[in-house]
Amino acid sequence: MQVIATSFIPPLFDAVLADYKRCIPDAREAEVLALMTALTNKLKTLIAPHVPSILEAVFECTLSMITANFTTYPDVRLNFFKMIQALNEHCFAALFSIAPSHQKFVVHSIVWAFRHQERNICETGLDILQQLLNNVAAVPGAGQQQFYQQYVAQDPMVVQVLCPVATHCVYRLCRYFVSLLQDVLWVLTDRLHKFAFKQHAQILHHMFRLVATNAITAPLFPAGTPGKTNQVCLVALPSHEGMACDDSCCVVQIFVGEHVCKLLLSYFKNLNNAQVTAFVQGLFDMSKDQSAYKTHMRDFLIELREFKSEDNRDLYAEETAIASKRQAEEERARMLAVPGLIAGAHDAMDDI
Amino acid sequence: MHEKHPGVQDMACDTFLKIAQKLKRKFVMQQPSETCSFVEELCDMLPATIVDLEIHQIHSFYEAAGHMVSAHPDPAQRAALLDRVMALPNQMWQRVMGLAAQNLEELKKPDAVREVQRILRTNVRICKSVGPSFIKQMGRMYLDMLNVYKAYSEYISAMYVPCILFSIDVCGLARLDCSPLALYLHRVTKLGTNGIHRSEVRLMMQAKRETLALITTFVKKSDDPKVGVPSVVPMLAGAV
Repeated sequence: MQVIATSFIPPLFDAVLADYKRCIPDAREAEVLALMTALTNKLKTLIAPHVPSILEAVFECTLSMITANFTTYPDVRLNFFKMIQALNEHCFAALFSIAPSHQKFVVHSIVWAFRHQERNICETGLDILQQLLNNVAAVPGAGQQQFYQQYVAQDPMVVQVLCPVATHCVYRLCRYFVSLLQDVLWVLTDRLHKFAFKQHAQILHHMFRLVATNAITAPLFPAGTPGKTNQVCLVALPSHEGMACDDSCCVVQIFVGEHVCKLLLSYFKNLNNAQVTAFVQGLFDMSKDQSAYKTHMRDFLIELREFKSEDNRDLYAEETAIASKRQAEEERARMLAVPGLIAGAHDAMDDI
Repeated sequence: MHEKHPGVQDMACDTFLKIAQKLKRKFVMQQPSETCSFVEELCDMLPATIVDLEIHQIHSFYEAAGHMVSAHPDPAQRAALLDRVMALPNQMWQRVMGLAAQNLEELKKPDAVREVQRILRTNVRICKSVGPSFIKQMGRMYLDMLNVYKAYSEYISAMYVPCILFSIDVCGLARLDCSPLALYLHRVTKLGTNGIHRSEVRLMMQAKRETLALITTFVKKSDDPKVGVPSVVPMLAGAV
């Protein structure tokens, strides 16, 4: 392994990566990205010193190839996201120690991945996001808050779109979060993304848990003026029924809640305020287990008229799969009980 | 493997591969009636055996040989066996590299590109079945291979640029003068230029892809000595 890391990589990067960056889009090989994925998966943390040079060579030029639409260069697309996935899994720290302007691209490219309708790519994107949120949650306290905050501050575009009046840091914090949340809700409510419902539900559960358990706190007290912070927020936001507003952590919760309500109401004109509020409050209710949480989401989706008249089997795909697997296992156990019903079950012939 | 009746050679190679996968350990041991183990015999007869086969069949044959080599318990012996199995492709590789050293243009002839691609593919298949012991063979080819890669990619870029410029140019002309004759000329010349280059470019891109595939396979198959050795050795000791 050491041999590969020290003597094998430099000439490889010199030949392959430099060439990848230089040549025209049509002549770029998706295999280069696959190779980087394989290297990352194998070398794990040993590759960390090389991550900046990898990203430098492939990131921007690949993004410019694939962000024009959702269909061209399918293999480059998939391999690119697989590479991000591998890097995120094994070199999370290195991935986010690159230039700030690139960090933003990483998150944006993940969002871009799960907006695809192509199943492979979309699922890869959701996997990366989930992994990313877990990684961020695993970073010790201060670093984690810094991560959330940093993100937001560097993203003026998202800031403008989501909150034109925002000058305050509570908005800033929520904006990173909310922009991701908004993207996940967008795919959740898109009929063409039904197949990934399970992952959507897990990610939303994770994100709302962060808010509900007050895991995001630090940015609320940036300059040591918590009182002022709270006041500004409470003035800016209509107060939310049923939620106590006495401590500042709740402000985040209220803000997120309000924002999601507004968002859903503006997306779906056929819903009334009460429906949406009930849904959002349900999302914050962490006493439910995963399956009750999913049922809650499904109910809401079916309530949306978009899903009402359709075949919604995909939403239940997970449960169906579990049931059919159990059935298959029972059947196999029954067959195994009688010798001879399944060929080769009783004599392992492989590799004598 | 010498029978020309349609389908027989394919079947023979597939069967050989399957047998090699399942019984690889038997072939590296000397059986009671043999003077040397089968895999050594195979190495001696290799050129004669594959003489009648198609390219893809040869590749399966090499993969089967790789499975046998990988089963040898002794690393030094394994490396020596691999050298013997790879003698033929390595000779071809040396020859191509020798030609290229004299004149780089030789490397760009379609036949040379095809040969490079073929050798690389043989190596991919062997690497797949041999696993970590491939490292010596890899070291032997590595730098040459990357240089070939670079040469091809430079050539491809150089080829693409005139192609693109040219077609833009012609498109501009055709837009200005939309008479049927101009459009016809436009189509013919465009096809013509691309047509000559396209097959060459495609061949070289395939060769590049094969290089990447070889490195990827090698990386995937290589394992950490600290992790690998302790877990593999008892397994082998138990079996032999």
